[in-house]
Amino acid sequence: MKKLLILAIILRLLLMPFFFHPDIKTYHFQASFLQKGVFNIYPYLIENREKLPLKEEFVYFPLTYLFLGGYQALVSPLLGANFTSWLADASGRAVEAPQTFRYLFFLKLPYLVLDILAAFVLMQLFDSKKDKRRIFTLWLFNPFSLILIYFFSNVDIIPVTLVLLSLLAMKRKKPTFASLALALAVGFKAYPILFLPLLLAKTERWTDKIKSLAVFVLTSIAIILPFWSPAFVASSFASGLTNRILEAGINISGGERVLIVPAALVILYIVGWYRKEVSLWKYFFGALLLVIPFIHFHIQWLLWIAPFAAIYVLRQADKAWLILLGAIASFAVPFLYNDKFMSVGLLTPISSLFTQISSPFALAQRFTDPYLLQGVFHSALIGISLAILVGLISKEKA
Amino acid sequence: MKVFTILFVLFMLLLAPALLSFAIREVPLKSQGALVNRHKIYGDIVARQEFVSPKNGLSAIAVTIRNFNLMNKKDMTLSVFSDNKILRQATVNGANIPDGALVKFKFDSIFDSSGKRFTLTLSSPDSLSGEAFEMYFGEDNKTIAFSDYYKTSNKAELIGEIYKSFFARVFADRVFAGFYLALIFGTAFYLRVKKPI
Repeated sequence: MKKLLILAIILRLLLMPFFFHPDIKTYHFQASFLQKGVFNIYPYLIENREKLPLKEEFVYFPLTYLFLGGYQALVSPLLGANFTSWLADASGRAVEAPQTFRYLFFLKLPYLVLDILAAFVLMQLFDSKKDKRRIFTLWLFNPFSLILIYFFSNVDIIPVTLVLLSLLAMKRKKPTFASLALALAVGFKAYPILFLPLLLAKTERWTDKIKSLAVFVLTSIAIILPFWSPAFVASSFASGLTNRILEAGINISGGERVLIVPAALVILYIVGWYRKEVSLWKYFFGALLLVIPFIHFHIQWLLWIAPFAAIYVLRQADKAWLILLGAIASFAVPFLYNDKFMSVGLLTPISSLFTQISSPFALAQRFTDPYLLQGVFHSALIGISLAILVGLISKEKA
Repeated sequence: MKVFTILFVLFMLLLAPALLSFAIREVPLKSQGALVNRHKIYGDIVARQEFVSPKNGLSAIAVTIRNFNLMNKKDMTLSVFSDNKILRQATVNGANIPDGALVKFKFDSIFDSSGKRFTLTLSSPDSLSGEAFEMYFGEDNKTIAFSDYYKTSNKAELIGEIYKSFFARVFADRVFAGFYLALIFGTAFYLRVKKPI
């Protein structure tokens, strides 16, 4: 197993410095203000937008800011004097700087640590040595999570690992700790809140349910309250996942829209409440299978599903092909977005000439409507996700 | 899956850049330089620039253009003159000019452009002052900040240039390059000496 681990680390080390997505520079630019004494980043970025070279809002939850800012402070001696100006470079040519490789390597190092930690946590979810080794291999040796973590380098691996810790805690009958881990995950990104009703449903005793809920709420309040402001709400709540969940709907009379994703989640939560024999990981997986395919998703969000997909492949090897098809369809959708950094732009540390190349969107435009093509893949993803979901909930295997 | 993943990583690092190079039709030669001053281009106002092409195959000129709030949906036209005759023209519509974007005006390559003097003009006669495009000029406030692009003919040479430039940049940060190579080779060596499982 040690040899597998070392090989996995080498593969990651080989990728880390050489693939770039602008998000890593943007959110590290924003996190750099922590060292300058800015505690509440949300109103700061909005109030100083005109002065700042990068104008984006901070769209993550507060622990992301504290974690990244704290990490930057720790490694700043290794990053060198030009790091701050590299972060602030809005010309689109920052990636040509020779120190880019150093920056990308050190900025992605926490993700490597958490990626490996996630592999170990996944192992603990299984009892047999054979299963432990298989899940370890599946997680560390699949190209999909490598692309998501080391090409797109988003912070999602942090809440993903915390969600896995939450699952592990539930396996060990420690619902309060599970709830704490989930709340910490929400402190980075909002999506783990989808799992709370399922976690509570799975908790056996009412006293534990209440305790777990209290821990979750109090931890979340402790994290969010110091940052609470209209700027925080506008930047992190009213953006990304939260809004997109509320988009897919069916118009009914009276100006109302029935929202598909919330309705489906309610069904899942009710099923989770009554069918406690179904494993919790299946419900977590199911929640994401209901959310992600029905929204216009960022490719980084696919990492949320990845560990559950790995568990599914292990548990239902005869249906592994469904996961493979789903992964291909789910990657094809953002690959076809009108954004070069979904494809050729990722290799710009190797050569900025790759920005000259047409994106898959532009190429598809020559033959067809690229949005139609996206829709085809997206529809396939929905079908595959629902097929998996039905199989997950319908019967429980040991 | 393990073997596939290893091959995937090696492919992305070693082969993908070479394969992508085949899709590169033209390469920039001159950097735009500092984007310091801006001037409005509309109506009769025309930006004019002379330059001597250092290479054959001139095929595009790129400039950074501001299009505030994406208001302007009129055309911007680049004309390439040689001896007062229009050799090439390229038009980009404002709908395709994001604010602050590097806009490339592509035209049929001038295969014997090396050493020749050209006059570039950029104009947007249908634009009004209130919606005018703004173009960047250099520090002297007279020179248009532009990049010139040349058609690639020899792919092998291009691939060689890409890898050469890549390694030059990697080793320009010698401390990190040394640390990184030591880390990779050290880890690989440790993997090699470990007893097989």
